[in-house]
Amino acid sequence: MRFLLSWLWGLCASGLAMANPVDWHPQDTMAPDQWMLTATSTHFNPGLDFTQGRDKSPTLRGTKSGDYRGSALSLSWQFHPRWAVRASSLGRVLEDVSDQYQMRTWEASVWTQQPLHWLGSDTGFARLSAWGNQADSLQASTSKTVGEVVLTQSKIIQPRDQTLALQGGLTWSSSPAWKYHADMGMGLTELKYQDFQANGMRNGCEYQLQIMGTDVVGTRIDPCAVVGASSQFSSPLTTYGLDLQKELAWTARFVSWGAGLQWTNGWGRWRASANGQSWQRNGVDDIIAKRNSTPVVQQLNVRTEWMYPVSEKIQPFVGFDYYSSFLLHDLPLLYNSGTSSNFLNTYSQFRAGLRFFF
Amino acid sequence: MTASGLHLPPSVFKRVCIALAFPAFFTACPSADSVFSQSGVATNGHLSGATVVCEADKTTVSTDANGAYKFPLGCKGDITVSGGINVDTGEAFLGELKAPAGATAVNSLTTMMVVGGLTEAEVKTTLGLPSSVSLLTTDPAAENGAAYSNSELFAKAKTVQQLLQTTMDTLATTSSVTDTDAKKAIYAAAAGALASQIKAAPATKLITGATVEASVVTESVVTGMLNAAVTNVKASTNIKLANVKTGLNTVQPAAIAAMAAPSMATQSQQYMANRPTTVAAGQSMAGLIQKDQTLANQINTNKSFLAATDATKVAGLATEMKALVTAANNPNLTNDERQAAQDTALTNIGTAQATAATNTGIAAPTAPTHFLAISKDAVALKTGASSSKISIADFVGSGATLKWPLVEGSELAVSLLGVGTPVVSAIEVAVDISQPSKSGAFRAYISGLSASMSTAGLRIQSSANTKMIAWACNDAGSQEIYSDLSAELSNIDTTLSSSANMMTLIPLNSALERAIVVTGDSKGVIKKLSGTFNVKLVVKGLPLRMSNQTPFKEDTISVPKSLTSSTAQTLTGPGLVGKVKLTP
Repeated sequence: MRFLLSWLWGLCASGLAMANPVDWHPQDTMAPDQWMLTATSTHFNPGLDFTQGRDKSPTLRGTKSGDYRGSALSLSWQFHPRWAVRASSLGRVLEDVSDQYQMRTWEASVWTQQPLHWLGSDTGFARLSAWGNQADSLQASTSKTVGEVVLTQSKIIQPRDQTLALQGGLTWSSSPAWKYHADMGMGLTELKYQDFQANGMRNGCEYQLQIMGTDVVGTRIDPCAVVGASSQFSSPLTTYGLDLQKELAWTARFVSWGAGLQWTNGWGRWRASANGQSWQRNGVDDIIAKRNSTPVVQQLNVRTEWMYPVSEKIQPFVGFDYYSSFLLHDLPLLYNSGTSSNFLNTYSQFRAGLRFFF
Repeated sequence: MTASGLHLPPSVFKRVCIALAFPAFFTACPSADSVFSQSGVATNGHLSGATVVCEADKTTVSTDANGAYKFPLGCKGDITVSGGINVDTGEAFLGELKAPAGATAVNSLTTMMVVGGLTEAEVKTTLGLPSSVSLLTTDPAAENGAAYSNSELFAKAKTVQQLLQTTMDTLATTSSVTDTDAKKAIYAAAAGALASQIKAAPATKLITGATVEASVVTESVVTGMLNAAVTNVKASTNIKLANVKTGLNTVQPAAIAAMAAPSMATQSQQYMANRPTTVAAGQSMAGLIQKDQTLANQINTNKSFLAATDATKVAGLATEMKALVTAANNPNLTNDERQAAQDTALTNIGTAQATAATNTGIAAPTAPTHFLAISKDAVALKTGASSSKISIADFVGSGATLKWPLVEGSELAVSLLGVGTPVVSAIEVAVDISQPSKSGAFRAYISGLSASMSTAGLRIQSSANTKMIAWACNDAGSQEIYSDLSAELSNIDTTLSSSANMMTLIPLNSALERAIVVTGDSKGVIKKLSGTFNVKLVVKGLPLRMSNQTPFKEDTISVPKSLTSSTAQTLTGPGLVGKVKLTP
């Protein structure tokens, strides 16, 4: 393990590459008019408490840890000797003792590889990709005090994010067994949501909270034992230092960079890539900074993969990924002023899948 | 060409401006807004939230809390103002003000110019105003710090305004009409009638006198105005006046003019005799005089005499009525002096009614024999051995002063005056408390309190049907709805004594402490309250009147029942609007 980590960090130092919810390598070339179907299943380390909820709350210690599982299906088509497209669909579940998120993700990309002998490269590639995540709701029951209200549950109704990215890079090879690539990119991310609802305790009663314009409206959930408690209240969001529109529906620009290598031998094909991103977000990061917290503006991830071709058309693979911050680039819709501190956590995941060529 | 005469859209104007001007002048190029806009102030007391219409193109804007409005693209026609709240009285403005094109002040004086065709000079002459004052651009209630910029203009504009409003109140009450369109039409008829009197006989000035304080309102002009107004209303084809005409069917214009004009002249004259120089004094007087319904009630009570074809036969009644109105509206009287003067006047009115009945052959009306009043129109705040009186006159005028927070053991001492056998029913109460120029407010509605009268007095009891809801808003805009506070009213069983010299003591501290608990006021905001609060109270189910027999004006309070919809609990009934000053 120590060897593996050293190797991974060594790779990081050598260069980084760009991430996407569905892994992509410029070396994944196909024959003209060939199709490739990839099925992938991804899991977290089951012992990971990804929101640190158990660490933060004494009452949660010893409770069930977090879990992440995802499955993806990608269909690629080399429709031209130098052009290919891909469409993907993912389903992901993320949960811990207090929070649960179920997300659907789509991805589409088009790329081209052209012979380019620059800096000793074999080819140059350019790739335009778009992806987005959406969920019916994101529900969290992490206790949080906002003004005079203690939030017991919060739910973002129909959140979704969309990302558009453009990247370009070069590929090299030092031998038929060893191939390398490096790339840079940039992109835009936008978040939206339909509604926000929460439950909170106030003056001894539980209230259902709704956002109405620039106000938060609380409606008492009966029964409540407190005699004479208000049945409804509303407060300007600014009273609590909240600006939900900016916190839950932020926009961002980002740049990315990365590098990877591929080694093929009698034991199969080995791959590794490292990617980095840096964001400039509108709104939410200023709010986080005002609360003396640290916004997450950079992420590094390393992805590795081993594939052993059982036949010319069937390629099973396994992979191991490391992220310096929690799923941020993959799932922007999870990032807001209330959850940003969770994204300071590092995490790793395990992947397994099959590629079919036809 | 005036700015308001330009027809170019703003963008065209800007382009021309930029094209013709030297670059150095670009920064001086006025914005389209400043070039075309026309601002003004609506005053009857400044009108807050009133609707202002430019008659040329029917552009509609609203006034702000100080009566100011602005037409962003100017106004080329007459201006009409209606609705809104009179900030001096806290009451809805039911009349209609007008001003000619180009005016930036809209008030009773400019109204006479539009509806009666008076020139500005004619208005100034009849009011004895200096020629240097521009009525079309000077806001009579304009403030210079805490004082009026032109207290003479303020006093005289109020005098005219009072004549128009009292005419509206009197004719509406006498004809049993409550709808606002009808009242607006009466107001317009009154303004037209007053203007026509002035136009017809310019030598007879409405206001005469060497000084403002010594000014006299010429009774003959008021009589002529009222006579003409009633005559015109009765002859009007305006459908909005149909019910008024029906209600005034038996009323002879000369009779009502003879009976009401002396009181109206004296009442409106109070503004000059006691010329207020400070805004606080002006608002206090407006609260006392402008809200008063004594004359309207007396005219309505004596409606049968208004059928008299010979007005001189009811002149004696008019004199006693004037004494009653003077007592009710005189800001210099103490509450006890006012009560004594009113009692005397009421006795004399009874005598005058008998005389009028003899003179006219018309049976004397029956005074309201069954009603409840707060004895001497005042309650007392008792703390141990000390006691301070809070009168209705103070409440509606300068404001009732209350030491805050309440001293431990504070009690409200109430004595009822039961006249005849008042008929009571289930009581509904609503209260509306707000602070001027702030968004903090509180409203509550109580229903299901049962009431019964006995020799001991008025017994009020809560029951299983007793409900209370409340709405509160703080200055930051946070709101609360309390949809079920019935527990706070359980076990109410109190009798307000109506025996002479007997007072009922109502403990106040426990209510205050309970309010603090219910609202979760951990920061002690309630006890730290200070300043002047507008208070409106509506009570339904009790035949309440002032002790001079005047019923309270109808008013409405709406208590929001939801913050997510517009549902509200509305109570319309006899109401009282005033101020409470909380002092440390």
